[in-house]
Amino acid sequence: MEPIVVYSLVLSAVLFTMGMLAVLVRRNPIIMFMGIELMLNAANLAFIAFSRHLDKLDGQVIALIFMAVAAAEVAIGLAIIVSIYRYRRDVDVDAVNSLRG
Amino acid sequence: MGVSFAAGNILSLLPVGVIVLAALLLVLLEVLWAGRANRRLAGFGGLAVVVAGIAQLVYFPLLPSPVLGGALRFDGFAAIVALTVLAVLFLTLIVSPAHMARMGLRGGEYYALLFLSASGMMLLPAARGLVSIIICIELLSLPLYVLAGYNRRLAFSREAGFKYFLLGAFASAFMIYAAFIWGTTGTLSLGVIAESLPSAGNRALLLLGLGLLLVGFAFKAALAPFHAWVPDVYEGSPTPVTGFMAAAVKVAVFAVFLRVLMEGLMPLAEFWRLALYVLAIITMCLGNLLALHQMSLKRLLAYSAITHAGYLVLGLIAANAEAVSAVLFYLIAYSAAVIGSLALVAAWATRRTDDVYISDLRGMAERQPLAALALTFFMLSLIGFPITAGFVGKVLLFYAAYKAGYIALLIIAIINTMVSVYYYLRVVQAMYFLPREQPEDAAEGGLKAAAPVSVVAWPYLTVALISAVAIVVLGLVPRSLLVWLSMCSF
Repeated sequence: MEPIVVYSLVLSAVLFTMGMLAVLVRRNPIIMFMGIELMLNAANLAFIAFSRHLDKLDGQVIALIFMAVAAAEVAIGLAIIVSIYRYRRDVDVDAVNSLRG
Repeated sequence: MGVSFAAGNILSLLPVGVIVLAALLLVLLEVLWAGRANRRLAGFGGLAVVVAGIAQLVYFPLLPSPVLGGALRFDGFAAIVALTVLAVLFLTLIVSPAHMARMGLRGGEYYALLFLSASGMMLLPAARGLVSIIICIELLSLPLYVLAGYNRRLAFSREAGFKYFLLGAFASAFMIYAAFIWGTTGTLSLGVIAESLPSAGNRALLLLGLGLLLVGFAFKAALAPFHAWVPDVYEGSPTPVTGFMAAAVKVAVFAVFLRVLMEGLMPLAEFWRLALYVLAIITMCLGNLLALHQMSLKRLLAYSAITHAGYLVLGLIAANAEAVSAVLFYLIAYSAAVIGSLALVAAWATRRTDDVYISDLRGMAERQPLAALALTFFMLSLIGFPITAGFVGKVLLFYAAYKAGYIALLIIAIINTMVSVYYYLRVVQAMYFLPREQPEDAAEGGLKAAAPVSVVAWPYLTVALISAVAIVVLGLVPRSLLVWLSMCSF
C-alpha cells in the first residue's frame, strides 16, 4: 500500500473510534449524533482511500452515495431530537430514561 | 470489470413499484382527505397491498432474474420474503385505523411511512451488493424511527423513537465501515466477493471488515450484546408499529443476513460461525432470563423476540440447504404469532400507556373467550408446542442445526425452549386460572379496574383470528408452505 493510503486509513480509524466514543461516552444527543456522523464520514474516507489503493473510481461513487444516506439520516434524526425538545425543553439523554428494566 | 449496465427484467420491480407509488399517493391523499381520513387511507393502502401481492404472484420469479445491472436479483427467496412482508403490512393496516383513533393520533404520514419501510423490506432480500443492502436497510429503518416515535403525546413513544434512531444509526455506521471488505476484495457484489475472498490481499483488514459487518447486522437483528434497544423500542412504539417491526423487520433482516453469509462470505465461514455461535448462546440465554420477570406484555414479547433471534441464528450457523427453508418457515410462523398477539395487546391497551400488563389479563377467558383462546394459541406457537406452526418451525430449524453438526448448540437451544415455557404460560395462566381482581382496585379508584375490559373491536379480532388460523394450518399441514419454500434455495 502507498503511504498516503495507509495514512488515510489510520486517520479514518481514528475518526471512527472518536465517533464511537462520542456516542458511548457523551450524553448530549446532539454530540452523540455528531459522533455518528463522524463514524459515517470515517467510513467514506476509508472508501476513498481504498479507491486510490485499488485504482478504481467506485469507492468515490460509493462515498457519495453514503453521503446522501447520511444526509437522510440527519434529516430524520434532527426532527426526532427537535420533537423531544419541544415537549421537554431540554435535551439530555439521562433525562430520557422512563423506559427501563 | 467493464461498465456494462443491463436493466434486466424490470417487471420484477412491479410489486415494489406499486408499494412505493402507494406511499407517494398516500402522502397526496392525506392532504386531499384532510381530517378524519384514517380509515380511508388504510383502505386505499390495503387495496395497494393486494395489487402488489397479485403482481408478486403473477411475476413470481421462478428463475433468478437480475435487475438494474445486477444490483438486485429477484428469485423465489426474495418473492417469498416480499409476500410475507406484504401480508404483515396488510394485517398492520387492518389494526392501525382503530388503534390510531383510540390513541387520538392523526393519520397523516403514518401510512406513507409504513409503505416506504415495507418497500425497503421487499427490496432487501433481492439486493446483491453490500451498497444496495445497506441502502435498503436504511430505507427500511428511517421510516421506522419516525413511526416508533409517532405517538408524540406519550413520553415512552418519543423516547422509543429517539433510542431506535440513535442505535440504528450507530449500527448503520458499523455496516458502512465494512468498507474494508471492499478494500481487500475490490468488489461489493456478494457473488464476486465469494469468488475473490480466497485470494484476498490483507487478511487482517478483511476480518476487521467482516467483524464490523457482523456487529452492524447483530444490532439490526437484535442479537444479545447489541440488543439493548429492543425492549425500550418495542414497549414505547405504538402497538401496531411494534407488531410491524417485530414481524416484518425480523423477516427482512434475517433473510438478508442469511443471504450475505451464505452467498458472499462462505469462504470465511469458520470465522463468522464462531462469532455467531457465541452470539447465539448469549442471545438465547439472556433473552430468556430477562423475559422471566416481565410484567408488561409488550416487553415480554420484546425479550421473546431477542430469544427467537437467538434460535434463528442456529439456522444462520447451519447455513445449509435445509436452513434456508427452515429459517423462512420459522420467520413466517413467528410473524403470525407475534402480529396476532400484538393486535390483541393493541385491543386491550390503555390510552395512557399503550401497553397491557399480565395482571390486566386476569379472568380474560371468561370475559373474552375468543380473544383469550387466540392469545393462547400464539403463546403456544411461540413456545413451539405441537400442532402449532412454531413447533414445525423449531423442528425444521433444529434439524438444520443437527444436520450441520452443532449438537451442543442444539441442546442449549432446547433447554432455552423449556425455560421459555414458564413465561409464555404465565400469560395463559393469568387468562384462564387467575380470578379477576376486584375489591382492592375498586377502592383505588376506577382507573386501574376500568383498564382493558372493553370488548375487542373487530379489526383487532380479525387480525388475531387470521393469525391464529395461519398458525394452526401451518402447524397441521406444514407442507402447504414448504412446497413454496422448496423453490427458494440459492
